[in-house]
Amino acid sequence: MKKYFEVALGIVTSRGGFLEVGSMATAAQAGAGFGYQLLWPILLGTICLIFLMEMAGRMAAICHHPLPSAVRERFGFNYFVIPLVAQSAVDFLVLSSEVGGMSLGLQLLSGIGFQWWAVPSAILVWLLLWKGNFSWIEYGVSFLGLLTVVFVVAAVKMKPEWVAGARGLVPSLPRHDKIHYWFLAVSILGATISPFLFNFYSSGAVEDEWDEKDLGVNRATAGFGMGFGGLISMAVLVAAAAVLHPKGMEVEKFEQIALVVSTPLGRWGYWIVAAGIFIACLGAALELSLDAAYVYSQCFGWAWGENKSARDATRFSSIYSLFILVSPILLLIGVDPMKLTMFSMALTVVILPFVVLPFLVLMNDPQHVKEHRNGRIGNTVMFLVIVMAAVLAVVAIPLEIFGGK
Amino acid sequence: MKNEQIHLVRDVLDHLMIDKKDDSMGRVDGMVIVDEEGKQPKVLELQGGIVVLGERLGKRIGRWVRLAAMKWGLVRGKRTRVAWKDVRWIEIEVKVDVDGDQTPALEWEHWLGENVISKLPRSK
Repeated sequence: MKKYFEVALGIVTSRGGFLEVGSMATAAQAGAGFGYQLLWPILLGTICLIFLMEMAGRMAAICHHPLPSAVRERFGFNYFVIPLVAQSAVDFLVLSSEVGGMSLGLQLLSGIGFQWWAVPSAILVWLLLWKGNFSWIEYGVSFLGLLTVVFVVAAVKMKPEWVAGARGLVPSLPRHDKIHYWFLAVSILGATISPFLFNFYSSGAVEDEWDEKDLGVNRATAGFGMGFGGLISMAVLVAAAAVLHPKGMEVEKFEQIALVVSTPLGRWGYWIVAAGIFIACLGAALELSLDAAYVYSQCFGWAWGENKSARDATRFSSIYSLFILVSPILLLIGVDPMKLTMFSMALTVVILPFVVLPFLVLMNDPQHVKEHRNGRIGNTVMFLVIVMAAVLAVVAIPLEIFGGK
Repeated sequence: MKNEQIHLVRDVLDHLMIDKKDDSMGRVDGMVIVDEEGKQPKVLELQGGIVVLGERLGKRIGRWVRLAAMKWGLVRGKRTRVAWKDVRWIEIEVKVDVDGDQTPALEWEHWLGENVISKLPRSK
């Protein structure tokens, strides 16, 4: 019974990181612009993510060293400095986007402009990390984040075209606006296969003291949790395709995402989706702040852990405090949260190969995973992810310049 | 130490150093081999610290990092040094027989605790 409970908690928790401002924004833009045609990047990204998360959890359970730590040990500092710098930049941008998402959620709830909420949102993130422990953050925020299931309800209520939806799961060429189509496909993959997710997941597994006995829980959590997250992302796209696409409306402002729920569900749907956006972005902001602290602490070998008091891990808590402190700056100087989010998602793709390539080596290294090394299927999937990540990394910036709106 | 081969770069460099109190005291950022005339080269010590890392990235970067650390660093660019004879065992971590608090490795950890964290609201 305890095992089932752990798996259920894990599923809810892992969804917490999956659905955030990036996945909502990219899915809503894709649904509004191209109907159901861009469901396939969500499916592809979710499948890749399930494999990568399972591997990150397996390695952490076996060697009790999370991914960033293992990469530094196996590849050395001269290699690690590249993902360290890149990840810092991406974490800062995505964290700013998430604080922007929280602020926009509060704007939808209160009617007060999002800039006014940027600093209080950042303070809330910091207070929760400062006062809370890992389980509290993991489970509390994730359960509240279940509000985002409202996207599934809205999608079903709109009676979508299921056949067209099923066709969207298979990659197809765009009929119009080709560059924007590929830009969105890349951004969706960036929002789905975010390196911060596997850093956070593997560090969380070490915080939760997983060992070999937890490999089954890990498999179920990665599979069902990421599957659940992918399902909600697809629901955002389907609802946007059903509500906005027929009217020829594009998602240019983050607030328009609320329309995809309030149109089929009315006023109560609006309140739930506004609260859901706030909570989902809060959850992701917590995970990103911790991710930055995990990456730095593990790179330099400092004491780390959200379960430790700030006094017992001073450099760890200083790093997340610093990231949170600077996170509202871009919003305060007037950067549009939607543009910031889309830019951050495309940039995430650029750092993906630097994180995934060492992962393949580590998952075949007996020092790190002992006899639990990858099998043929795991290695093949990983190889394909690396090839895909390398291609995406090359095309992401040109597509950002020419295809971003 | 167990009777098996240790590959210095693979098994020691960049691995976590654990002190005699079982606390983390940073990573092995560098290793020094002494080459005295007429004698065989031998590993002298493990080193840690931002200056060591800077030097690994290149001469010029190393010089910049050293100058910055000497000007603004808490320990003025001093390296953490652990004599090879103080290494107890090597697995995925490197266990050493020194007290991390007596080395420059934990200076920043203590400084932040006393000067920043203690002035903020009490954490969990």
